[in-house]
Amino acid sequence: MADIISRPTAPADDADAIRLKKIKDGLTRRHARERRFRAYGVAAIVAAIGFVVILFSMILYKGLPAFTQAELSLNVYFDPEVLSADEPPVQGEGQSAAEYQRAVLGWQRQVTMLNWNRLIEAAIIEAAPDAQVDTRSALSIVETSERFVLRDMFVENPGLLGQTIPVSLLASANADNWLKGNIDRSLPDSQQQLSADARALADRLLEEGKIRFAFAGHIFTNVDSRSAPASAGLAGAFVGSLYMMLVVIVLAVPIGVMSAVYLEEFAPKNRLTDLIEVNINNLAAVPSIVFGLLGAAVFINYFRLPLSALAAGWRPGSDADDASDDHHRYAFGPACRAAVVATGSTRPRCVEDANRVPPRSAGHLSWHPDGHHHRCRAGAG
Amino acid sequence: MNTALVAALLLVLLGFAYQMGWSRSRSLVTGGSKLHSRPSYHGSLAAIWALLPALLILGLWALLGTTATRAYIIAQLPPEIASLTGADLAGAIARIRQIETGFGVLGETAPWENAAAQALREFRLLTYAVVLAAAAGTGALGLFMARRRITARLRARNEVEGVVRVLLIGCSVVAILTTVGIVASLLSEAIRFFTFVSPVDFFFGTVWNPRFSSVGSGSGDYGLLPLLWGTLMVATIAMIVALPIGLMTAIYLSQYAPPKVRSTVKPIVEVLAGIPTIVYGFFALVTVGPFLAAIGNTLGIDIRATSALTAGVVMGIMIIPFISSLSDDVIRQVPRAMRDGSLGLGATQSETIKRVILPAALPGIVGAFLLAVSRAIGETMIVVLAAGNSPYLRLNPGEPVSTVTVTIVNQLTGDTDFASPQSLVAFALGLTLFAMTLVLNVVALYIVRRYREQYE
Repeated sequence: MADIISRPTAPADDADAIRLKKIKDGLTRRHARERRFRAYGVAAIVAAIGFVVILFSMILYKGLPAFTQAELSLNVYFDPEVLSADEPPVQGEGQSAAEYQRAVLGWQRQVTMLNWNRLIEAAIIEAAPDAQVDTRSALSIVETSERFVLRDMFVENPGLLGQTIPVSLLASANADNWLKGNIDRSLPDSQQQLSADARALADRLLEEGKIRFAFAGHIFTNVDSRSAPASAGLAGAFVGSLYMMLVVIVLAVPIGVMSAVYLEEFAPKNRLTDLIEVNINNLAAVPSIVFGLLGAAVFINYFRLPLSALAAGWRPGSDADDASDDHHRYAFGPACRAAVVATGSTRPRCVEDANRVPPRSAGHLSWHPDGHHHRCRAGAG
Repeated sequence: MNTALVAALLLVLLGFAYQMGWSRSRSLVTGGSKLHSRPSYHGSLAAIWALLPALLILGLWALLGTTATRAYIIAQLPPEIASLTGADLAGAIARIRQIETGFGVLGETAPWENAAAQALREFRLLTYAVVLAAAAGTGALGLFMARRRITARLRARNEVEGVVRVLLIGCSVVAILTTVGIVASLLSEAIRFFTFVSPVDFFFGTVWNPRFSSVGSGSGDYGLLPLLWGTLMVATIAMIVALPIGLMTAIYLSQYAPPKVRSTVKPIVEVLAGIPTIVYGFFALVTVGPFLAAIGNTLGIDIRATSALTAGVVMGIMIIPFISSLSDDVIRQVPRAMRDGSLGLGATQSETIKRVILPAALPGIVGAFLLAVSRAIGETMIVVLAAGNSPYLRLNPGEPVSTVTVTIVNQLTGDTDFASPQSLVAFALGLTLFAMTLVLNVVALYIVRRYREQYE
């Protein structure tokens, strides 16, 4: 708009004209500056929203493929020649429960020792009859723990002997990554995890539809595994997070809410309550790792637990869950320690937030999302 | 101890006491007298009288029981075993406990072990019965006393409220106790660390090399400066990213944006504050790091995928909503009259913001800035994943660094002897971190508080 009235025509007075020009130039400059400033603001917002979008899209892009995994659909023939086990034991007359149990366990041990991999190999060759692959390559595309799936099927139903059953088995982690394109296909053989034959076989099976990508439900039901990475899951970590959330809720909700109620409704203004408020504000800003150190020091010095046996810290709580194996318990230890930490840090924050809203009922409301949010954080951390 | 049984006992006591207090006070009303407090308060008071002594006894046992049991086990041991110390004694005790629970132990059990386990079993049963009976007995006694006290004139309501008030104060004091706990635990462990390494070497050393292999011998270099340098570098980069974006977002949203834009953009930006930091770390590791490295490649600068720059940029993104919402609050608190006056004199909006609003809001913004810095210094997961963990004094932000928080994590995770300086140094580092954030927080809170008072 400044441009429209610039260049005044026929100035009556030189001094006036100069002054007017000065003002108009100044206006132009000022308006340009105004526009620039606004543009900075818009740019900042665009940047901030852009970060949100990039963050979410990258996480979805990287994370979603993890929920599907390559699965082989094979026709497994329960070959009586390979599965040369005894008949499953039957509880005889006068046989005690313990004796029968021992016989069953002995039979299961025998069944476990059978060569299940030969069934898998035969099924793969049946799926791709003309492929020239050796045993090693053929088996390398199936997850190593999948042979136990066949064993469990057989233990459950020994009548499968001699039958051909369609089974879907998880592909190995290497094959899965190869098929998903996570591995550079131009790398030479010496740098590939799978042999050339196995790679060709995996590609071919995928093409023929005998390998497909299916939703990997087992990540929610299996615990982690080193020997069979494709069948590993989150169950242990998930339960640990749940336990931690539970502990945090049980400890932080009552203490946080009651403390807020006191400070808002009852507390007189004196040195003590001032001190409490300053403390709460400070605690809310103390880094979580310092709470972690507090937890470590308390566990080690007060409860006399060595650091590596923090797992034991969970013992009293996990009695109800005694069925869980050592692996679970180990996962709970750190979780418990972190719970102490999270409690420490969530509590003051709840209190602080509740304090901001004077009425008691609103205190509850304002607290809740915050607490939830922190628990989520704690869970992930 | 059977938790379900104890809980059942307490619940029964609670219900019975409440019911008794309630009905007894009701019977006074039907008797014709006027009660000071309503029957429900009498009920609550009776419940408190019955529960408190029982809880006290159970709590005492929970506190002292372990020690007493241990002492009893030691008393059962033959003298040559009982005179052992440290791990040997603990091992012997653990064996006896294990035998007592009925699970097997490694190797053959000696006769004295079996005898001790048997004695322990009896001891446990006995103490369990005694504690339970004592709890129930004192509960009943309390109940009886409460019953005797119930009269029409009893100020039951005032007494109940007094108890509730004490409970509430107790909950509030937890905040102070937590602070005391942090300071005490950090200080005591840090002092133990300083018996191995002199504070001068720690605070002014320029080499960080704790030498994990020589656990126990205590040698190694524990210089804080490389870690501090890494922390400051990452925090500075984070603030360089976060401050302009956060501040300009706050200014635009509070001064220019129409309400509709404001109410959509603000929650979107604040989503960033709700993302767990480990997800940011992952984001830094798999996306931002390689991206920055690729940019560096095209420009001919050597930027590593995990570097101070990567961690700083991502941490900056994390802090944006923190700065923007705090500054937004502060800017909106500047009195409208000041803004209107400036606009009325013919200043443009940006001039008003730059010359009037920002100077008025400056203390608050500085406070927000300091709080954000303290967040950045204490941030852990992002730097653990994305900073590269290389504790050297380097000027180049494209190189990997290590920070105080990362080092605390490294020193405390894994199987190290807790009494070694390699582990204890974590507490000295924690103390440093705590002191730094405490100073920042106190200064920031003071500034913000002063600022609020100025315009209220």
